[in-house]
Amino acid sequence: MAPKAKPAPSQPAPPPALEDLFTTLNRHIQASAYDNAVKLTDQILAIAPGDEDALRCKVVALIKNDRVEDALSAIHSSKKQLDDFHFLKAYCLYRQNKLDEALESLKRQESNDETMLLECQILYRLGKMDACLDIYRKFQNSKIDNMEINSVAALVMAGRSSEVQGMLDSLRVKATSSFELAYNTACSLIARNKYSDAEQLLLSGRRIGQEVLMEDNLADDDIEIELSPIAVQLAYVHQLLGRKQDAIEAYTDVIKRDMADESSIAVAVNNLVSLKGPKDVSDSLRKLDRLKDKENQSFRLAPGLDLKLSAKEKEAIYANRVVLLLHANKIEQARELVSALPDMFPESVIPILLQAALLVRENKAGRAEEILAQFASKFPEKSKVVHLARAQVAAAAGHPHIAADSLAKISDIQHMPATVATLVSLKERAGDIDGAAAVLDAAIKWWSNAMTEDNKLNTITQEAASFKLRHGKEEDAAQLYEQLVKSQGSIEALVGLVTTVARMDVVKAELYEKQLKALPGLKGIDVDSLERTSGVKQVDAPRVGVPETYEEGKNKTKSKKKRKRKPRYPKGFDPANPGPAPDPERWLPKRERSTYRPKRKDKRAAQVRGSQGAVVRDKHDTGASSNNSNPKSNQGTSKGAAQNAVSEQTKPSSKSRKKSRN
Amino acid sequence: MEHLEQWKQQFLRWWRVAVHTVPPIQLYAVAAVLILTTVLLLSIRFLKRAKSNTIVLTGLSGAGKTVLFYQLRDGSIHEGTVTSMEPNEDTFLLHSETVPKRKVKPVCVVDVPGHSRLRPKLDEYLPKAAAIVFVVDAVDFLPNCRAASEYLYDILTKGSVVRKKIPLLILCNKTDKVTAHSKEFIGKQMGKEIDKLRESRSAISPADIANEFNLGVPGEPFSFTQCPNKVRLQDASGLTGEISQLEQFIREYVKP
Repeated sequence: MAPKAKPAPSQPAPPPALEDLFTTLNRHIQASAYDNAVKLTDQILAIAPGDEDALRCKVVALIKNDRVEDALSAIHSSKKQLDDFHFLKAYCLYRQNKLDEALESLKRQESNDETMLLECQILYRLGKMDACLDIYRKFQNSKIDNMEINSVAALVMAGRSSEVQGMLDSLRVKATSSFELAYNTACSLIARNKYSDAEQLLLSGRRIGQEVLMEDNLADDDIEIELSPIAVQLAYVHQLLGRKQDAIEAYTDVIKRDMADESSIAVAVNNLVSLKGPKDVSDSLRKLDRLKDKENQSFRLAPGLDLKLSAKEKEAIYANRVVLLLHANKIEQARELVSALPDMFPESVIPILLQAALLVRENKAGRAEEILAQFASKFPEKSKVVHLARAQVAAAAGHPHIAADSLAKISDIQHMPATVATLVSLKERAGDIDGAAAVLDAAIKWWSNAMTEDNKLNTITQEAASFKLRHGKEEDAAQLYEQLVKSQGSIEALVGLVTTVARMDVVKAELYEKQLKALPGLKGIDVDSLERTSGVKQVDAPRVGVPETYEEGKNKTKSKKKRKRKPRYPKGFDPANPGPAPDPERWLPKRERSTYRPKRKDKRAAQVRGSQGAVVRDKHDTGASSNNSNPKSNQGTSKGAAQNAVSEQTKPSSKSRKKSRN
Repeated sequence: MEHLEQWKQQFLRWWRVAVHTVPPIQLYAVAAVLILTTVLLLSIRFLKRAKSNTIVLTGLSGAGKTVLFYQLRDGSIHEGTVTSMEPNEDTFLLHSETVPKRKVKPVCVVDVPGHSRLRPKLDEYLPKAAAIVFVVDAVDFLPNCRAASEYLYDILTKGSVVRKKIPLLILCNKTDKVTAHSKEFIGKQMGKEIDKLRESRSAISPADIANEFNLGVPGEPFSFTQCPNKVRLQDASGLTGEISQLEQFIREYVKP
């Protein structure tokens, strides 16, 4: 969408220096050297301040060089307001995401193809898809490149995916003519829940993209970046088709490469987080942190992402962040983020639901119910989801009255079986039996008057009858069962009717009972014979007892036989005359017996000590005397040491001798 | 000795008489007949040798060569195939030709394994090949583009292939899949790879240039039309039995 750079024609009567500068400027522009081009235009404007061509070249070069701010300031500071500067200004504002100002600036420009295309882009970014599509329809006959790609994208974003095929047919374009168109058409198929077709189209689109980009001699990394939206969308389709493991692997792959464009990574992170749910909460939080604005303490999306992602995508990311924080019990951070959401997304229901979830986590269910009720009364058109959430919160917190009131306010599902069952259950828990009965009666009336084929009257009547029977209203139950018998004639209803009426009016019950069919297996049964059968069993009982008695006797006999063992006596022993008793100390060690005498050992020990000690002393005395007599003192010292060693060796040996004797 | 002398004299006498008697024109006629007979025999032998009915299937592992072999022979892949360790060789009528029951010449098809260690087996079959079919996997093409191009480069620069100008078909298999690349794309990408290869190969061994045949025209980007032998590009799908293009190619070079 960038406006084309126009090489400046030389002026009819310029000075020679000015003409040379324009020639050089043209060469720089041809070589896409925009920095040099900007410097050169500054030189030209210094010489000729009012030159329109130089001014226009400067602005376009700055835009081409992605210096949008400088381009805007150049437009503002120029003395002459050229005609097409409104268009250039609008484009700069569009690049800065100041979309409303861009639209205003564009309206001052005379309308042509370029301005209309830029207007389409601005409206697309603003989310005003219908206006965008109206302008695209005007271009239907003209041959503008890639117009079908943008048209399909606008249709998908406008929620009119069913019209995509018609548009492609009218333009006589195939969905596989380019990979961008294949991607957009696959998005429309996803919106219409045709996931298998979308998968096939995405695979084709990826192949086409690989081929086209390789023929353009792009590097492998660049090809991967270009095709990353297709990879993320394929993973999303796998997720919707129920292949969660494939989806998780694909998302993880995209995130790990860390080369894809930012918005695709953001979508992959968001979807991966939602797939994992309560598992790996801290890991999911860390993954979400990479989408964060680094300079901001609280969680805010990075500025680049904030520009590229749509409002729905941003809302999903923030909502998932809050849910993860609640799972991780980080209440403070969740509260901070929840308080910021209503300002970001004023049209949405999600912030109020998240706020209620936060309050429930903090055990403030009453306050959650209050804020939900306030929101529902303030925005009646969005109150259905809020009422359901309030009912759930109240039921979980043990406030059945509030839950029932909240459910009763949702009028379009008032009489659905599920709603009726829930209301009755809540009112029973609250002890309001009459209220529950009123709900059932109202439902029966409503379905009686309903003309739909899918009528739930019989189901609800059956449940109502069971309810009244449980709560002691037998006459009402009987009436309901009579209605069922008349309208439906089912056996179940008849059984219920007989059971109910029997408690009040036996004669009437017998009348209805005659309509019941006899059970086939019970024909010809005689009560007397049944009584005799039970008698036969009693006669059999004592017979069973008798064999048990005999068996017990046999067991006793066997045990007695084992006990009749005679004690063994030594050979030649006469039990009549046992003789003297054996020595009671015969098993004691000899040392421990009372007749033990340790005299010998004491003598030997004494002898050993005396002889050994005497020998050692004699040698020692000899050594000492020799020391005194000899003048060489060194020799004496060594001899003494040797003797000490000998004496030391002697003592252990004597100790060991004692031990061995023992 | 005397007998020999007598025989010798008799022979000489007879020879003189014969030579003088027979006119020169008849001698010339006899010589012409002998020469003509020799030439005819040699030409017959030469013609027989020129006729070959062998088609060589080659390409990387997993491209679908064995599936194509069974489809050509039986019209079915039976219980599926596994990676081949030995060449599959058979002489048969094409399966699509057995029904009309015309008098058709059988074809000898050789399915050569594509693993790099088994490539020397290809040298046994190339000299007697009437045509070569290089099978490329169109689905898994991008990861294998370089390897396939190197293999094709080796085949196109082999002496036996270049001298006899054996025609070659690049067959893009598995095109029934939605993710299969088109034959134009495959041809273009392989051309690019071969262009890089010939520069690097010629740079590696300047001394051996005389031994290897150069591919393409120096100074120009490579194109398959520059090969001395005819190179063609076709689609096929072995699994679904869509091999009509392959059969046409075979019959073009093995006359029925």
